[in-house]
Amino acid sequence: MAVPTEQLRRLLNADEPDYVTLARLGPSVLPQLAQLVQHRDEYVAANAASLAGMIGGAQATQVLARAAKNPSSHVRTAAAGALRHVKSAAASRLIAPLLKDSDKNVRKFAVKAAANRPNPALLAELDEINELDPEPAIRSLAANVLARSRRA
Amino acid sequence: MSTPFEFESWGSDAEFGDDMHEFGDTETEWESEFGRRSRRPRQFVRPRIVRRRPSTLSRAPQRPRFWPRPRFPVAGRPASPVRPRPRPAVVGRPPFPIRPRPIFPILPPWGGWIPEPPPVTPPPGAPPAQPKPPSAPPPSAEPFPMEPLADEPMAAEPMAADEPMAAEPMADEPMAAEPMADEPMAAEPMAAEPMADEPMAAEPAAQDEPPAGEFEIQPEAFAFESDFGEFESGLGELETGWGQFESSPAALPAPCPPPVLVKCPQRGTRPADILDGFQFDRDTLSATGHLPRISALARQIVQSQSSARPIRTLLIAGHTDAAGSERYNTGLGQRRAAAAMQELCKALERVRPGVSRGIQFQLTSCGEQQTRGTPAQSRRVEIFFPSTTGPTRGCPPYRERIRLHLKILVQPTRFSIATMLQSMQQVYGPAGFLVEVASRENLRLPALEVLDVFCPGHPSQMCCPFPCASSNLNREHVALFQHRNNVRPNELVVYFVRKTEPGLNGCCAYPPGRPGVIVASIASRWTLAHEVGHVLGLPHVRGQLDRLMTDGGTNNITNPPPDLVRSETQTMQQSSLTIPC
Repeated sequence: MAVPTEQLRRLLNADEPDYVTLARLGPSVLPQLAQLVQHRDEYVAANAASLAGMIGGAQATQVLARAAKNPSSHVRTAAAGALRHVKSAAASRLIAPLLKDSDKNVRKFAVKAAANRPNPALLAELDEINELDPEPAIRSLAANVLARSRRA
Repeated sequence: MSTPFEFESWGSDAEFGDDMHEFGDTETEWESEFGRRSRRPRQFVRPRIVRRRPSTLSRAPQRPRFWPRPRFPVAGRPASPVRPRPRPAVVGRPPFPIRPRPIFPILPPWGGWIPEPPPVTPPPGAPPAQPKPPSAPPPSAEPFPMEPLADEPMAAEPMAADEPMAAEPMADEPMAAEPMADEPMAAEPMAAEPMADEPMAAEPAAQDEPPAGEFEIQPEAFAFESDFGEFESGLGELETGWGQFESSPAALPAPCPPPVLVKCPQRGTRPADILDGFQFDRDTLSATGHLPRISALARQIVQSQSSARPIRTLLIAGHTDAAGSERYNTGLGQRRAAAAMQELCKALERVRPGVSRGIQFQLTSCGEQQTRGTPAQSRRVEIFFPSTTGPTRGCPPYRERIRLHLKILVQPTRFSIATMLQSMQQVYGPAGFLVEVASRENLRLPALEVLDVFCPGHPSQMCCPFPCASSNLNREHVALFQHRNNVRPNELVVYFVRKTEPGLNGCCAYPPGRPGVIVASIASRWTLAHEVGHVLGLPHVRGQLDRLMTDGGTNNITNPPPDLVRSETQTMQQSSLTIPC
């Protein structure tokens, strides 16, 4: 179902966007989302990235790849959070650079996104975060994720 | 010719003699050291006066010795024009209380008593003589200085307690933090207080003391510089403080209201603050441990005065350890409580003068009845706020109130908190609701600044449902809502975060029993009112952008302020979170 970009933008600009309902629009809105993740309004761009993650799929990974390179930390955080829902190798490859992001919130959600992914490269990154991250909460989170991954 | 007479110096003979002759009928005889005699008859007992040459005068001030010495007030006119000695400008604050300087009429050397002529009895049959008007003073004579003269420096303003010294202190005078009434002068070679009967330092031998007569000259009367020269009788340099300082005593701090003695609160009552670590058998407050806490408590009390629940009553309970008799410990506890109360009262007056008058202080001593783990912990003073049961009654013109507690992790970036509150009042006020901020607290929770609001078990589902109370919230969401300091059950908490993931301007979901909302840093000015509306039971309204509860986003509201309709108002009134005034 085709939705005009402006309408999609207005829906994403609500106080509480209904992501569940919007996700039902399906991959048809991903091209608009690819534009919206580069919107000047970082709130709209971040919400577009979140919606793309809820939609999922290979095309969504491309949208999230754009969002992960956004200069705004809000958008990169949304991209890291959205990658939790995309279980693909391509998505795993997007998580690694986010684990080294300068913003602690991006790293936090990247650690969450790295959970339950049997990817040795990611586990090595998590090890490094567990030891070297300046934020105690992120080190603790990385330790928990590693513990769960090794148990699994 | 030798000098048959000696008198205390009042100036040159010629001037004195000339002045004498200005006073009309009343004539006196006066003998100068040069032997000049007046041929006028004597009309009063000549005082025995002693005059010394100026060069022989000692520098020490001489007490005038005259006989008879007039008492004050005296009738008559001043015998000579005098000019009061100008006072030095007051610099700094005198370390001792200043007595007001008395003003006396100016006296001539012999005491100033100029007898009035005897009344003339009219012959029988003659009309009664008109009362003789008093002779006009000579043009050169100055009137009685009944008021401070113009060249005298004005009295300095009384200083409030603990007021920092504005001017530099005296050279050798140590600076005192507080006015100390009993502190003597530091380096001045003068007595601390003026004493009229204080013997002079250079007082001659007793045989020179004139016999006590009807009159007695007060030393203060001679604190003037006469026109007859530079000699001053009286106290001179030995004038005490009131001669040098014009300021009145520093104003004492406003007295604390007298405390009310009450019973010791029950064990387990939670105090607002505890000042422990008193020294054994001492009631002295520690400058490093107790006073800063008392200052912080005073600031808290003063800040509460402008809130909906001002602190108007303080209960201060003194405790001791178990050593010693119960009776003694009760007294010691009372002293500790009194010391804490005094210091707290001073701190309150420092923060806002006069605030302590509106506060009732209750004192009690629990003695050794409520000891704690260690003796040092037991030696303490506990301060309670026995506050009112709830908010103040009545909030006209509103019918109900909504009390918010603000917990700030990140300051909003788009609209300030004040703007959001004002906008909320703009919408809620016409509906009859008063929005009150009960408290404001900054939370340092860096891990929760970007709040994960995904549903546990449904990672692709966001948890911000309506109705807002939900037991299926993300762990971070629940952890944030644990912070509810000073929040009552019927009050709301607003958490200001950086953002949520996924992105929301605000979210009304809360764990059961902990009503509150989340507001992101990029929220609109109406987001707070919108989310609180959800908590009060208002659902979204489809498509109507002029309504507060629009589902189109408060960023897109048209015709601000947005509206609340009657049905919505009734729903809000039925909520347990709206408190009737």
